[in-house]
Amino acid sequence: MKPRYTKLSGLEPLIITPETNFVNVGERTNVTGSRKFLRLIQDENYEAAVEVAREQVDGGAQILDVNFDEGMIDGVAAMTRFLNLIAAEPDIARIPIMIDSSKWEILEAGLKVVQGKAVVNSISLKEGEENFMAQARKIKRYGAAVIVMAFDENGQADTYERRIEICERCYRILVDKVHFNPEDIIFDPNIFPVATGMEEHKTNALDFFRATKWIRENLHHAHVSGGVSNVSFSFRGNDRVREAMHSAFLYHAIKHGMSMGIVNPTMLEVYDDIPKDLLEHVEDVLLNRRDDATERLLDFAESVKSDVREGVVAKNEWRELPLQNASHTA
Amino acid sequence: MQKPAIQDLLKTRILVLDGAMGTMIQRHKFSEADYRGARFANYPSPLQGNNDLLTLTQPEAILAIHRQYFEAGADIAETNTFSSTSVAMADYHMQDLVYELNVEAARLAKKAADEYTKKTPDKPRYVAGSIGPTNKTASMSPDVNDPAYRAISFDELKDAYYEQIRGLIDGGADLLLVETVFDTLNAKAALFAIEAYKEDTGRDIPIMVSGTITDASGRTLSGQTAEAFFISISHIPVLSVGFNCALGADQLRPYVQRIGAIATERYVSAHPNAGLPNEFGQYDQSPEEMGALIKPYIDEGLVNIIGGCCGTTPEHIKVIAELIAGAKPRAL
Repeated sequence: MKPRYTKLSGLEPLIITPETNFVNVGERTNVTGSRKFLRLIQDENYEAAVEVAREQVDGGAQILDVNFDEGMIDGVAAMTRFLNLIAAEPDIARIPIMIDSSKWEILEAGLKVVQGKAVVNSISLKEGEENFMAQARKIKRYGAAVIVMAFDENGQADTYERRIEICERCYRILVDKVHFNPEDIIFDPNIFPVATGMEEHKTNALDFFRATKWIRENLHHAHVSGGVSNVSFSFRGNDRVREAMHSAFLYHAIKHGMSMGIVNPTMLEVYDDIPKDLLEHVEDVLLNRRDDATERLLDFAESVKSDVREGVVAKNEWRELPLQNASHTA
Repeated sequence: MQKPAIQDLLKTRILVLDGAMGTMIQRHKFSEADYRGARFANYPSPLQGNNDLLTLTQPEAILAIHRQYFEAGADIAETNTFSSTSVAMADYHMQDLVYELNVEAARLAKKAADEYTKKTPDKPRYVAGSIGPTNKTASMSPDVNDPAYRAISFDELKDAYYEQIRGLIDGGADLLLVETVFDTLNAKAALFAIEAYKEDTGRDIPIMVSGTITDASGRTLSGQTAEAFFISISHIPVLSVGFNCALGADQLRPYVQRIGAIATERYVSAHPNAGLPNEFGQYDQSPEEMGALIKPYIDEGLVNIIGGCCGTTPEHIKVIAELIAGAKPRAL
């Protein structure tokens, strides 16, 4: 198969090849995920908001996710203004933008102000095929890649089977009917929380890993992304455990073919630096290795909660780690 | 007039694009009255310098320039429409003339092209509708105190370009040349409009896109590298990509090389200036000097379409046409 690499751009190119271990997408310029960023935007303190973007780039973000989905904000105006401001900052604008919204008019407002090749995050079959195709055609004409959520008319995919069924359906529509470049399609097969106490959530991470592997092997040239911080939702307030979970989750997801993720690049722990006992408990949960995995991690989490953090590398060195046995090739 | 599709011709040889229109117009030293002609004698605003208006007021001069370039060996003539959008024509309060300017400019170029196709049927001639960047930028603020401000929006550009495209195609342009792209967002608006026009009319129109590397920084005015520029417009299956203006052939060559390295599925074009301007803003690189700098483009197989921008004349194009005779085009 002839290689078709995903090519994005800000002022500079970002070409994703099989050697690209993983592309990390900076998540802090997102009002739904960062209370600080939300406050800055509500206060119209765009100068400081731009600095949040700069920190993400300095911290190693290769794409910048930008989201203004909040009821109190005029999303179209905020998206336009913020992206225009960033365009004037060469050290930020050098990386591609991920225009993130659940509202089409905000996505389109973003598409109208980026000169580079951006990523739209996201579209789905939630409102049917017609709507999905119309949006995909527009995105193609503006010249952007797209994240497709595993979501259809019946709701969000929450099992392995539903994930691959929806992703395959979307892929066929995009490639066969819309003639979208397959390398410009990035699937988000839904990262859901684990260790919630609910029986049906136990395989959430595993199902994501398996679906990722299937997508990379069967939906040629497409990529897989996701919002990583979702997975640790039940450990809000315990950053120590959350960061270990994110790193361990990414370690396994990348092995299964996840090629891009929305993360805080300045707050990721190196997989090999996670204390072995914590790692074991975290992986028991992620990989659903024991029936009592959740209870054990909850207990263990209490003990690490008050730990003074030492030796945690608040860097993104994990990106440089070799990825042995990676199951994916583009 | 029936002629082969330009796509087919490009498989077999390098094509020659014409040279500068402005440089040739300057030779006429047209006065304000010449620019106005009879039709705009009483027009309320000054019109000298509105070169695109000469299509209507001095059509014989424009037609003669096209003929000179075809005579020199050009395969493709560019229409005299670089600024024929409602955005750029606002400077002269001539927005209402835009459709007519484009139709007539395309007709003039087509008339010359058809004459020469008839004269030399083995060397068919084509008309490229010239689509300039306009005088406003969609991704940069003209106000240092307000970096979020934009003097023009994507939608305004898209609508203005659509009107220009409609005129160019109605007048008989064979292809469209989105050129001198100093802001890729402007070019994306032009490409968006072309795609919309193609969908609305059911026609397929070959597109050339040519960016401008401003200086030795190796970037467009809006800050993109050659590779980022190509990636940003790669969603449209254009006929060719390349660079023109701002630099002479020697300074431009590395960027033509770089875009060719990434745009492996597109033809590559270049139309450099006749060197860099002197202190009076004049270009004094001779045809022979420019030819010597163009030669490596041909020898190294860098291009499929080659021509000239500012300061180039039919004499320059003649030298270039001789250089490419029998040369192998860049392989896809």
